[in-house]
Amino acid sequence: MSVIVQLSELSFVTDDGIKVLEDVHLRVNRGDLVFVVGPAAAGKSVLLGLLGTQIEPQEGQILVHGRNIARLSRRKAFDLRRQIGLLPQGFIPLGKSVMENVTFKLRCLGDFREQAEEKALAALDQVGLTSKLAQMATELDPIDRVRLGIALSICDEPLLLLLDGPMIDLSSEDQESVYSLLEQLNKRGFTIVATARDSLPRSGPSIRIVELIDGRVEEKS
Amino acid sequence: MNRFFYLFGNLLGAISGRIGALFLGVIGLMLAALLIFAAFFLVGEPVAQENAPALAPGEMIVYLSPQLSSDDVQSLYLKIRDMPETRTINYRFTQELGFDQAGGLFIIQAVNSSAALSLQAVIDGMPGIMSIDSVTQAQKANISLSSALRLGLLAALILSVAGSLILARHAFSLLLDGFSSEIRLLRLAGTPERVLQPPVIALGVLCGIIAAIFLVVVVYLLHFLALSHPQATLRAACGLLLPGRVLMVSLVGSLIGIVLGGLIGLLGVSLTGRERFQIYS
Repeated sequence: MSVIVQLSELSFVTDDGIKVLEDVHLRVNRGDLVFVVGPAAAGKSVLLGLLGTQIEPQEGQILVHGRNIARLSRRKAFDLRRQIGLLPQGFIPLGKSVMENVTFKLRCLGDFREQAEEKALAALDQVGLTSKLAQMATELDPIDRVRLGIALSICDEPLLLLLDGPMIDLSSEDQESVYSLLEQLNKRGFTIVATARDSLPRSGPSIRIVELIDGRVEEKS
Repeated sequence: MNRFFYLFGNLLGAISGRIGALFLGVIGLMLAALLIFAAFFLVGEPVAQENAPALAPGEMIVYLSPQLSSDDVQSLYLKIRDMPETRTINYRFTQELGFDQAGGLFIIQAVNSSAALSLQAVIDGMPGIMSIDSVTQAQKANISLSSALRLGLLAALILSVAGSLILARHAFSLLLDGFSSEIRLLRLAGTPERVLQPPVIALGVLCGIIAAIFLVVVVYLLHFLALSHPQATLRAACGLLLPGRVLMVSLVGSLIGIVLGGLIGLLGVSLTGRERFQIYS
């Protein structure tokens, strides 16, 4: 089974000297669905920011798809970023329609209109938003915003999907809905690393849960 | 080019009423700077070149070929004297005026500067005429600007350029704030900086091009106005009477406007690196 993410001796300290991550070791294989669970400010977002090449690593090794992030040139880091679908916490969509939100990303990545629309439709179909293509994204329900964020993350067929707190501030019913969606996407072949504050709605046979407490990780299942 | 135009269109779409007004202000200040630049070459009274006689408005010196016979000179003299545009005409030997050349010349005073232009054109086509000195000739028109006026224009130029840069920084800051979600999404998606930067620079260049177009329109309007009232213009802005100079000022001014627009665009680019546009800071 090929390894998508390999973290070794990863540590991260903020400018204020607070240790956010300490000696983290983690391995994510292709096709895994991994939940990093931990309380607020446990370092989950930093971990995903590092994996998504949005934060510069300080200590330790991060290999994503065999490439050492710390040693990547600026250009190669941008190339790698294109292969990672990252949904940040508190995602705010653009003040455009649902469809335009996704096509904006794709067109800025270089796709022509027809190609971008085709990919956007496929991504929105996967998250169940085809009935709201023309709706203003800023007027969506919280659950649909998360769906749109996931559609944005998967529209360019990434190797790795990083979802930072997709279930935060959602009702338990909506959390279950997002959870099911992630399971479906995982079954379709997406490798997913997501974070969650509380315990998950339910466990699943294909789900790995990693607990992040005081900057250290512990595999739960 | 596809994504450049797409992103540029989106950037223009993010310009709200207030931001649009600020960019209009930037264009206005750039235009002011370009007009002040143009004034250095167009405003002022004409002065004669070294070794050339001082000429009054409407006055010209017509140099005759030394090979002309006295009868030919007499014939030319009468012909010019009888023209309605001619007020006075006097014949002189060139040596009388201290010129180091043989032959004679006519010192002609036209009835006005407008008449001087047509008179000069007619005389220029006559046989036996070597050259004509007049204040309306581009190569002879050295423009005199007082030191105070020169300093004033320089100060105004610096102020208008600085003002346009300050206002442009403010306008770009507001525009990019309104475009921050798009910028964050671009960063998230792994779009290189070279994708975002050209549309921002292009917006600055567009401001420069608009200012340059207005400069050309204003300068040529003034040029045609000056040609219709040459007497009044000659004392204040004799450069406006010279088509070659007007063209040169328009071209160079346009180029400066585009370069200034590019600088303003680069100023906008420098703002895209701010922390608020980063997803994780």
